[in-house]
Amino acid sequence: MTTPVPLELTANGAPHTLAVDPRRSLADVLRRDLRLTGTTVGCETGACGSCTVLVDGEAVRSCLMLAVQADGTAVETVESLAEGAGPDAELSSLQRSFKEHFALQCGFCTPGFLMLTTALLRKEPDADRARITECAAANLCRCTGYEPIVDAVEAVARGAIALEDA
Amino acid sequence: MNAIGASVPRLEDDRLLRGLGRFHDEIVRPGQLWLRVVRSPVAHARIRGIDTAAAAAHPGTVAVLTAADLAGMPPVPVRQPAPGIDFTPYLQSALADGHVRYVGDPVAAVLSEDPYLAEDAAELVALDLEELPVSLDARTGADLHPESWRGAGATVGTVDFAYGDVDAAFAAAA
Repeated sequence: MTTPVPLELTANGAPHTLAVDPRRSLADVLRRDLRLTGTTVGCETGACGSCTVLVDGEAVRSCLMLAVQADGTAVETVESLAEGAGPDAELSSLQRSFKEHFALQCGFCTPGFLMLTTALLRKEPDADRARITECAAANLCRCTGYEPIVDAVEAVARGAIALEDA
Repeated sequence: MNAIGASVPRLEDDRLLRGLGRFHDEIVRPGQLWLRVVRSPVAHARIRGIDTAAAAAHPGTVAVLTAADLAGMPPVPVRQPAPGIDFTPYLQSALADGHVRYVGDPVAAVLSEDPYLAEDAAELVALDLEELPVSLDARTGADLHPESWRGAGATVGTVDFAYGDVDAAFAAAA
């Protein structure tokens, strides 16, 4: 173990001041220190994308980013997507669309896909199916076969499900 | 109620979509330890020695296990045994015993109070391996009788399985 390094960031809008071992991943600090366990770690090597979070709006694999590299940034995780706090907060349009299109089964990869495609829709709200497929190809899902995930995102992009907060 | 053909809403989606699912890594119990497996870096070798002293002395380490600690434990069975075929020479022990037989073969297990310390300690396990020839093609390995299979051959057994009249089926399909 080495000397802890100071780290300041916001996670889903809440400011945090921490001291972390410099070798620890952002995913690990989110999960263990901040108890944001919605971000799941599948492969720890950057292959699967289940740990995707947004750092200053950019989708990143939080298993590959050192926590100290996130110093001074705003981090968003799956826990931020629903409108309001607590288990009764209203699901975002993208979350609702995933549910309606059966775009999840075991749910392990789902937070990663939600954050990945949230970033896409913010930048390209009318992304077409080819673009959504290209983007979704960054992450792995072993349950759905991907088509329902693309369907869910495309429904939001087409406006079939209102995009009030994605 | 008949759900066949109907689109049935899933009860579990809501919590999974919110990141409130509970997977194995979310479970941390008081006194829980973390395990790191030390694996073979080579495909086939005789194990001359495993030095676990440095790993055992590392902070956080509770135990470093090797095959010697598992004496008397049965090997891992095959999932679907076939009548008349003796798989005994091929079975794998939970930790490699005497030989490693593929890259990634588990050789030692480090139990630690912390996952990062477990990784550190695992890197300190020193393997003394004497490499043996490898076979990369099942079709040309029939004559092999490696010592790591206790002298058994690469043809484990032959299973004949068929039913119906194949020739007649093809003829009728033409």
